Amino acid sequence: MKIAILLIAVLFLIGFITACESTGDFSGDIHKIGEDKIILIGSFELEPPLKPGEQNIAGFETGKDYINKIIFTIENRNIKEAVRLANLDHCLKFDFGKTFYLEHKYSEELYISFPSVWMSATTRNLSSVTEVRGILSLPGPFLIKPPAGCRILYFGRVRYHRDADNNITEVEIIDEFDAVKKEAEQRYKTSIDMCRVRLQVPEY
Amino acid sequence: MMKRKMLKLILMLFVTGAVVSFGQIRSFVPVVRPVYTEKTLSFFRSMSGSMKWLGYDELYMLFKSYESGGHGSGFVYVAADRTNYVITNYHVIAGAQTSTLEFEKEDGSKTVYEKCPIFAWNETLDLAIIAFPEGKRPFTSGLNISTRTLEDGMDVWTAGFPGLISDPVWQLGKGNITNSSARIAELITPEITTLIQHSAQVDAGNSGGPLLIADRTKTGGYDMIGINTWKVTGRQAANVSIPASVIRDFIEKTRTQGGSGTGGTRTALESRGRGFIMFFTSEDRKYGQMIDYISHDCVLEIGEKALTEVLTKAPSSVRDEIIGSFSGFSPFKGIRMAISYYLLENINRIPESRNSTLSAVDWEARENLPKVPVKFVFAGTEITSYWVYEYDKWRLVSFPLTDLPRETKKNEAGQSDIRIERPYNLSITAGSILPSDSVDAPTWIFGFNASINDFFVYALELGIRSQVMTDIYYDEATYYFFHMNFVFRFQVPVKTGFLSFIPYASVGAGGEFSFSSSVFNKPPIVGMAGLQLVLGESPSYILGCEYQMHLIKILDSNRDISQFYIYVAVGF
Repeated sequence: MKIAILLIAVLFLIGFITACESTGDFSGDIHKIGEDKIILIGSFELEPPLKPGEQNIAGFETGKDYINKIIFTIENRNIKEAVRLANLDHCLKFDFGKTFYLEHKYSEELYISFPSVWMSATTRNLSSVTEVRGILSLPGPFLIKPPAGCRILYFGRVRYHRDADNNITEVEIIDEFDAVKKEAEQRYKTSIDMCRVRLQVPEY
Repeated sequence: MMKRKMLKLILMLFVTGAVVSFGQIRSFVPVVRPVYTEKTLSFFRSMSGSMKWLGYDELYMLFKSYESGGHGSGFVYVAADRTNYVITNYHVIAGAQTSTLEFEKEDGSKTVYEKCPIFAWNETLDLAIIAFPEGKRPFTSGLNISTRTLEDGMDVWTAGFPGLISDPVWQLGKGNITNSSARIAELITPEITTLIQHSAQVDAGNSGGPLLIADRTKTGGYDMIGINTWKVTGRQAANVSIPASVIRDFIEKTRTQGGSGTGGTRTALESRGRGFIMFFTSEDRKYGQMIDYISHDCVLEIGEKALTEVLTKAPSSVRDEIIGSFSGFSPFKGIRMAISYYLLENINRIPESRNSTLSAVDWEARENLPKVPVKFVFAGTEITSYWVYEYDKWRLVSFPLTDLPRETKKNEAGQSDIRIERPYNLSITAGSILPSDSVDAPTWIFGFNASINDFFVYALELGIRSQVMTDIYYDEATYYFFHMNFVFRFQVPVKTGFLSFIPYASVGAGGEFSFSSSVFNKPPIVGMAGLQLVLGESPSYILGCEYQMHLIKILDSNRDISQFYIYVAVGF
């Protein structure tokens, strides 16, 4: 019986994970972003970085896609809940340390919600398959308010410092505006009117 | 001024061991509150809202505090003719219309003087003199401005009203002179060659208060040796005061002149104008050098836009420097730095911006305007700026950035603003072939165009045409033709901002089929040349004109084609 529950739990976990989109970088014409779209540019990293084998998920077929990746969702409202499966059903995943260029629907307020890392594919409490223990929840959400007239938004490099027990000890936001703008202009082979946005902590 | 970014400004006071002296000195040290105009307060409100939106909480709090009124300290000075003044730092009253002086007694009661005019000021020295309203003279004597020689290690006191929570609270701090003739490169100027470094306590709100040495023979029991102005961040008890000699010279000079704000000659304005233009023509121009030219009105007009631009788009080093310039100073300095950067960035985009001259000072207009027009020629284009005499200098009120010459603007990647770029990928077209010698009725055509890339387009045109024809029995009948054409087009889109021009040449093949008979008409290969005028992107609104002619007749055709086709379209 326990084996069956474990199997269900793992399958459920895999089910959520497969829901995360492998969103590629925006590859269209940067000057022709849709009227209701923005491009969100930035990156996340763990300090110290994840070591090979630290994520115990490689044994699962879908788990391989989550090695050294951050998972999060982007919402247009603040969901004041702890991370759980239902909140991650439209999650995005990106490589730690790599700048991403995400096209997303415009909203006056955008929340980078439920930042997390899939650390293991087991559940600690076998009687509750809805409780995912294999997720390392990172501090968030972050609120982004696009400035007037800005469509290409750079929020910086978010560096999560962690201790040996995976407690997040500090969240550092590093502004690499100049270098990222240059990189973006080389990528899209044109000048880019990129705006810096500050990640804000939503008010409750 | 720029280099002072590393230093935090403070105000201080000292506490003496003598109870009698303690009580006395407090009577001569008021809280100084700047009184801003409604326009300035509205600016603070708007700025705090913007900073909140952008997530700059530290700036939000700063502007919020100025909304409710900041404060500093000062001390009473009585001139030989018994005129009463309060001396403070310029940055305490920067941007203010008048000020309020609050004298607090030991029992907590207060004497308040409102609408105190700002008699004189000097931004470079960071000093200001405030007069009492209506020439009131409540003091028969003020603090003595010392002429004594200072030595390292002497006991000193700081006096003032630093903010405790939100309210100013009396504070007297004791310490020592740690350097009686400090030469701090970032702070000294031709007018202030040495400063007093000391360890007496200073906190935000002490700015403008006196640095004192106990002397029971002097008014209040102290001799005033300096004015507390800066605090070095990151250092313990490293505080800096402007020495008494500088204050004494400033008072004497401005009293002789009858105060600040008067004067402002044409010669001085021309000199400032030339200095301004020389700045733009120099090889090594830096935005920080221009803040001296920015007036308070200019701050109110474009400060919010300039600061927002800096925070969202300036390089990280510039943004950090400008944010740092808000620390410990009045908010105006940071905004003026932002405006300087904003102006310089715009002027840097002018081709040949170093080829600029002062054209004319329209001095006569001064009679009718509170500000004087000054004309410059930038790369052959004359623009009119406006200047005002403020804080003893002519300063820029407005500079019409939109009038600056732009020619073919180059973006940062060196790409021209006139670009080869299609404004839409797919369009739906509706148009008509105009009647002519070869066409006796309009042909209504609907079509779809799909771009392959910027230069090549596939199109499918479907149309309906009616034509009166005579059949073999010489009866006239109206025939309706269904028109179908496949077109391959080569185009050269030229995009200039929101408007695009697309000249093109096409080749098409197709034919017409009658609904009502077996007439099969016009199956030639047709050559076309046209021009599209396109407004906007996604959706794009298109107006086109095309000339069509037969290239090759494949089957029998009852006439040659030489016709015009006009159409409108919507592109996506």
